[in-house]
Amino acid sequence: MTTSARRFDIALGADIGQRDCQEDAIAARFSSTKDIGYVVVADGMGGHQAGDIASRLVASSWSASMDQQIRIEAAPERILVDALPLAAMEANAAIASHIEAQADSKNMGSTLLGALFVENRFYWISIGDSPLYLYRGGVLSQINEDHSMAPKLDSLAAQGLLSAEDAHVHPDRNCLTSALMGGGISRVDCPEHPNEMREGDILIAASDGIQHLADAEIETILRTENHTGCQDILDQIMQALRDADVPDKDNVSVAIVALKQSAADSQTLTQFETNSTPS
Amino acid sequence: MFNYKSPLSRILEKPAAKPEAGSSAQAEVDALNLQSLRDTLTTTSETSETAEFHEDIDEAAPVVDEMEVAAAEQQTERSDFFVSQSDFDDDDLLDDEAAIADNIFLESPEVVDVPSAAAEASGAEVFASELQVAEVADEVVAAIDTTKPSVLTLVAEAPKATPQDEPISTPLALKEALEIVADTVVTAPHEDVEIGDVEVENVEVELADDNQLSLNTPVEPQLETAPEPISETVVDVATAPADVVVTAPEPAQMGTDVAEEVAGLPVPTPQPRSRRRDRIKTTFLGLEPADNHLNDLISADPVKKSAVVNTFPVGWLVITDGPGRGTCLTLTEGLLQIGRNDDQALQLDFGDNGISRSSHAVVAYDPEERKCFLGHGGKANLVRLNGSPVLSTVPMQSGDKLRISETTMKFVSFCDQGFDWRDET
Repeated sequence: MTTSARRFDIALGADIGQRDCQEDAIAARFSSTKDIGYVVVADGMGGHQAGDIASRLVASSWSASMDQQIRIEAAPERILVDALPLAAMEANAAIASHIEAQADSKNMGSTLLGALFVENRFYWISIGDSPLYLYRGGVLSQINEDHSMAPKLDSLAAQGLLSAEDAHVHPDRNCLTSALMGGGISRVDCPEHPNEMREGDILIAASDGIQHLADAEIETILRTENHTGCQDILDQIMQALRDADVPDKDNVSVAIVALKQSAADSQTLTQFETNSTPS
Repeated sequence: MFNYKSPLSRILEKPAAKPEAGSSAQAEVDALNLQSLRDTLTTTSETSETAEFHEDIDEAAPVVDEMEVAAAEQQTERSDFFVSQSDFDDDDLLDDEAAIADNIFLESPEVVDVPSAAAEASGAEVFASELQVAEVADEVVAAIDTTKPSVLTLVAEAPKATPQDEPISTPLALKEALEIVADTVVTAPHEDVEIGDVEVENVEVELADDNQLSLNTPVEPQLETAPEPISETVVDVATAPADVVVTAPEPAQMGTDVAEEVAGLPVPTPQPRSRRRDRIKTTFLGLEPADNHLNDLISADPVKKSAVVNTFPVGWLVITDGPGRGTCLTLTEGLLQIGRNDDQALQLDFGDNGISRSSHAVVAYDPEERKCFLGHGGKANLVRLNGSPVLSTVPMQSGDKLRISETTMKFVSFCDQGFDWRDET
């Protein structure tokens, strides 16, 4: 194992698309003293600004819960990992509270995609259809579950029960099969075990608006911008989204996280790395 | 801590939402009556004789709590919470933890109160109905009758039992009642609030009494009346409370018996039938060794209370990894809390301090779906089912693995589509 003398390169961005309001929320926090941090993306729904509120509630309450754990000195990693779903419960409770207080917000809800980074490991919790991509070795793949009808439709298409085209434009394709709506949560994707983050890996946490771009398009951007840093990658992706010829373009929020190049690491970070511990 | 519909409420709501076809009509009638009774709640709730029934009422309470908590919460603290939330809505996402933390803390006391208030409310209802047993009995019986005919006669004979009958013997009826209460809460908030406040104190006091009572006479009354699941319960209710009251007024040591009793308490609604049998200690391990060789591993730990075998099991949890490995916990009907304390129906006190003292998680058998459900305990505790965190109530299947902290358990079902204790033999 490498030591923890690593740093994360992070970039966040959001675009309202062609919608009236921004129903996405995105936030990140990375410790300045430890190699710990998180990003969270929430994609709200509900209309009449309820989606706006829902996503902000989810992102803020989830972040607040995680912050409490991250602040704890030398918190066992297991505690941090368990905090992911617990924070999701807090977020769901926040939604429930709001719904109870506001009768007109009954159908409000939000996806939640939270990724936790600890040294060279990462974990995630995902509820809904906000994608988490891992770019590794030149290949981009979505690594979290997609809690929408899309996988089912694609599966039907794969079985020949539906044409690929029909599956792709199916009206129910974007229907969620799980979300934070203040009540029961039907599906949760929250692997218990860590995933290794390697040098050169790029993680993208986003709202589903990013899927206006095909995976191959994102992959191309990553390949060309791979060595210029996350901000450049983000800029390219956001530009590509703006350029995309898509009707009724959705909100999009994108967080990009990578490990800094070790060369740059050793120069800029040594002065901060007093609390780090070997993994 | 969580202003969140607790797992039990969900389980209870489910059946309530889709009452059995046969009983729905009566249930409604019953509901109406209960509601009218409920109106008298405030005046009758503090009657001294009510104390006698609190043991049973308390048992029912957890179930009621959940239901009403959901309703009551929504009315009270939620609004507070929201106010705070809206405050921080304007704040920067990254810097509003304090606000949220405050909110959470604000919530928690209220949440705590609510359950007890709810419990009281339900208890009060029970009492109210008790007073008017004559009038209500028929209705109640009607509701009860659909599921358990034998209860009818008992109710008629033992008016005292009636109040408890509703919650205990007829889960459906109880659920209906609970729902009504919840509805009432919604419609007449002020009333409920007042009632809740007033009664909370009473309940707590009474609870203490109950514990004591149960200490002295934990098993006997129930044992005596134990017979078959459904009908017997009513009888027990009638007799047991009286015995308890007579025998054990003074507060005392919390012995293991008490613990057992308490452990039973959270097991509310349909529980009593099996509960009575639980007390027949002579049946120790009668069901375990034969078909579950994991229990052979138990030797590592001295037999603790949690190893006591209950009859009318609906399933088992067997610790397969972690402290207490090899121990079998028998699941019965009702809400079973998992925690380290000795008042927990499923006590996991084998050295895993990552497990909460109280209600880290809950297990409840839903007789309608004939499945055991697992839920988090409503606090900041995590339980995983087959590796996935449990964020709401989820059904368990035989063979599922539960992990709490360092303790892993395997769930083995007993009651399922093929068998339920309610089935005719």
